[in-house]
Amino acid sequence: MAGRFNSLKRVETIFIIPIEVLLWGIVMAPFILAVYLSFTNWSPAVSANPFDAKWVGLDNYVNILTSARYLGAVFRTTLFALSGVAIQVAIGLGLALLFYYGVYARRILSIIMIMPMMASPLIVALMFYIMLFTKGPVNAFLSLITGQNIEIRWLSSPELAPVSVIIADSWMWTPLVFLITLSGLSLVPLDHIRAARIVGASEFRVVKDILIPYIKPFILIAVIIRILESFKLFDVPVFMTAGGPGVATETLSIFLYKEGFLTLRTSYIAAGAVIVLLALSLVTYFLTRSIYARS
Amino acid sequence: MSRLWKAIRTAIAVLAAAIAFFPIYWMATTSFKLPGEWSAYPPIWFPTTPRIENYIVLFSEPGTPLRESVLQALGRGFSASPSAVPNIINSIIVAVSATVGAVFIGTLAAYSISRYRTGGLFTYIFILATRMFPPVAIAIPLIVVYSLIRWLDTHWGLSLIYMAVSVAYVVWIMKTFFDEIPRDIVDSAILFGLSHAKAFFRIVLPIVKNGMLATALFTFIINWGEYAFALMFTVGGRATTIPVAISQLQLGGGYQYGPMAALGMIALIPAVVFGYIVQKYLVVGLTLGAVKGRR
Amino acid sequence: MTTVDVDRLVKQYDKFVAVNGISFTVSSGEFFGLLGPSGCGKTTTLYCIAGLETPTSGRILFDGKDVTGLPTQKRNIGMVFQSYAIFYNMTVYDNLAYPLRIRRMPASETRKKVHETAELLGLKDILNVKGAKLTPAQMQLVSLGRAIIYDPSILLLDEPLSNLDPSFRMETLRHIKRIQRLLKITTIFVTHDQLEALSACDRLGVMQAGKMIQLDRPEEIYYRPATVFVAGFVGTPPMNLLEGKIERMADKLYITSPELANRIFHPQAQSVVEEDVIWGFKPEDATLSLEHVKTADGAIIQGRVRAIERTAAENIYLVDVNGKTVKVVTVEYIPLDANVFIHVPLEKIYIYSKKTGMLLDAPRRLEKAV
Repeated sequence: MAGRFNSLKRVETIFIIPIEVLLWGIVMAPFILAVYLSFTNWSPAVSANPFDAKWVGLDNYVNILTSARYLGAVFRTTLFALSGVAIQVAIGLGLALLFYYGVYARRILSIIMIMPMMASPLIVALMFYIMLFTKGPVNAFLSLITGQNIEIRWLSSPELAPVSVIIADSWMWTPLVFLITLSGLSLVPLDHIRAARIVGASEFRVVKDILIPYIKPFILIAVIIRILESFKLFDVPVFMTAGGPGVATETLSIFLYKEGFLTLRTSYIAAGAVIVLLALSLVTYFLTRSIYARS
Repeated sequence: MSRLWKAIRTAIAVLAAAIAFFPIYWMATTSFKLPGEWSAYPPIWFPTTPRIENYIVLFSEPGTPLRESVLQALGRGFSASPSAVPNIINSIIVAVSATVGAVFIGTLAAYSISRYRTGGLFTYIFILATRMFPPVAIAIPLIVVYSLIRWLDTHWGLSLIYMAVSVAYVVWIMKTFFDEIPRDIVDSAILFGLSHAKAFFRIVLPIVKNGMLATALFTFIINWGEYAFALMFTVGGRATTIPVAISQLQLGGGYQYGPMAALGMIALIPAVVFGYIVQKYLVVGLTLGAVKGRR
Repeated sequence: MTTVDVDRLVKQYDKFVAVNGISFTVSSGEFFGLLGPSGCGKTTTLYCIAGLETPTSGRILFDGKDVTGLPTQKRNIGMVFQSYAIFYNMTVYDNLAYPLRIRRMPASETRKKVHETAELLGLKDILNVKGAKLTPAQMQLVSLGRAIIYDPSILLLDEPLSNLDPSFRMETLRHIKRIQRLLKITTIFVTHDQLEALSACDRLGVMQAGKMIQLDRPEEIYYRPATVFVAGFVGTPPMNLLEGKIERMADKLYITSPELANRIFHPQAQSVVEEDVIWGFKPEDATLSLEHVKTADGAIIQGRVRAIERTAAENIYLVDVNGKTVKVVTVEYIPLDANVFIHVPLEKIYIYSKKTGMLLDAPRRLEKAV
């Protein structure tokens, strides 16, 4: 029996070692270093050795939390995340219901519908970039159907650039919400739907009272995944509009990148990153705890 | 009457599919157009004579006869563009190695957590939370370390980062698979005299084979399209990957839409393969097949 | 209340014909049953009546009005499902109130009706319990309550007892019958359990492979099963069925059979035209004895007792006869492994055509008091 115990301990510990090493080495250790740096005034422009820097306490944090540009980036990123997710859920749910009730050529249509998910964010950015020229296919199409000369400046106007980013991001991720929601729908017991109809519920009420409540957990998962990932939004706005015009599409990640890499205000950025991380970690912790408890 | 409704639903789904498909289509057609046609207005919706010069530019070295042959059509601006072949190779090397590593490490960890609850809730949350770190936060210190040990701009260095970043998804997905396996299967194997490790490799792994394949493909797609880290760690260097190469085409000499689109199409190949496999074996059948027999 | 007419109903899925042309009428206030094994089409028939499926051909009529094209929502019927289908997220109160809220009944009236129905079914104590937390038996009663609370004209029950613990079934069935008699509601009850069907229904239809085999009162079905299939389906245990031949000997016709120790001179054998028959008898109509019975009347079968199932009231003896098992129900005590003689009185013998399975002759049962 003692031999068995040893082997048990060995396996479970050995299996977890590689991932711990990997994550602590590549993610946590640098992060801890970043936290340290956030309390100093180090910049690679000044010295190559991070430990040369002087301790400045919370100066970086104060600076960044009062920086209009940082706060703007936070606000903007949150806006992108929430509105993007709202669109993705609205359209994804709608399409899922459509497919649930049945469409012709279901197989082919669903394959096409999940294509956007397969491309990587940069490629999506590229696609929308060449589509949204002022003299591009989108404007040409709009001109065609309205009969007027549409010359919307999707990428170069400060008001519309964010919209373009949200559109591209939603285009890419709505299929995910669609799939998750459809999976949820397929699990709704048919008898419940039949029972609702028998007692007189109109189809609208069936959707409202039975289908949607029963798929709430699935929608919740999709929303959580999408919001958390949206906070790292980088590839699309960087490629499509380089964070602009001005700072119109500058997300947190872009702000941190520009300040950190292009102007080398490294420790300042470290503080910004730490703040973001703390906030997201708390959110993740609370949300995942409820899902983990169920498994 | 219900057939009419189905037709209406199908029409809406077709519209959605068209929206899903058009950007891909547009990029595809752009990749087969010549410079004059890229920004033509009204746009050329369907190129009647597809040209492959854009692709040849990508696959040829400057100064070679192959390159010279296409310069006539594309213009001398492309005479110095480097071949994209090294980028493609880099992407393959990095993505494949990172995926193999992440799947291996992640699967072991997922099993350990699933069966033995190793490290408790904290470890599980910790692993998932690593997805939430903004790339910039860990990149800054990591670059410092990498430059010290001269891992900057190497396949191995980048691959390691990718592994760390994508392993969380592997753990998340594989854990759900392992959760589904009844403990009895492993317990009886152990009763037969197999060690815990052997039981895992010989009995459990074959069961989740399909899940691992799906996870591997999914992870590969993520790593293949990763941009932020590649940008920060390999710009202009030898290990530059496809996404970075595409963005460089944008910056250098600007507006090289044709070759950008061509490289984008190449970048889509794994996604297409993945989509095909998924469609054949997994998701479409599960979620969409289960819904038939509805009224 | 309402009468239900099913007129030449056919339901086909691709190549599979689930219901192959059945017709029947349920009169107002009747408790009508559809009985048959899994896959016989009884549930499909019920769904067509409910409007959950559209018939391939044929009509459904409520009080003479054709409702075949009418959507489910408008048919004003109540239905209880095998899986209960209680809405998980809602409390018992909300489940019961749901049909009334759909009909925009004012809250005060709704409250009154919910309490009335809860009182009727003994649900008052659990009105605030969430649907997911109920026991199966409670769920079934809530399901019933929800089905009747809006005073529908027809009640449909799809195997309502099958998912219940056997110990709850009879009690729930009593609840259902009590409610039905109280409300005088036309009820159609689908089940595969012949005991439930025979004990509860005013009339029932036995179905097999999409067709209606026998449509009758329970006593008729029990004592005059129309086909071999029905004979072997009803009864606990069902009828013993053996193969036999009708032979002519000395100008009289006898039934012979490998299991028989004798030949049966059956008066009705004279009028039977076929040669190959299946004959049978009910387990409770036979007697066992250890000695050879001396009467020449009826059937005598010799065999060995291979198993005994004892219940509180009686014993079921499984007798091995030539490799076949014949069941006899009797209160007498016979030891295991004993060699026995089974005697079936002449008047308790059923004869069926081997070729068509149809009943050729049955005991003149109904003249006697049951």
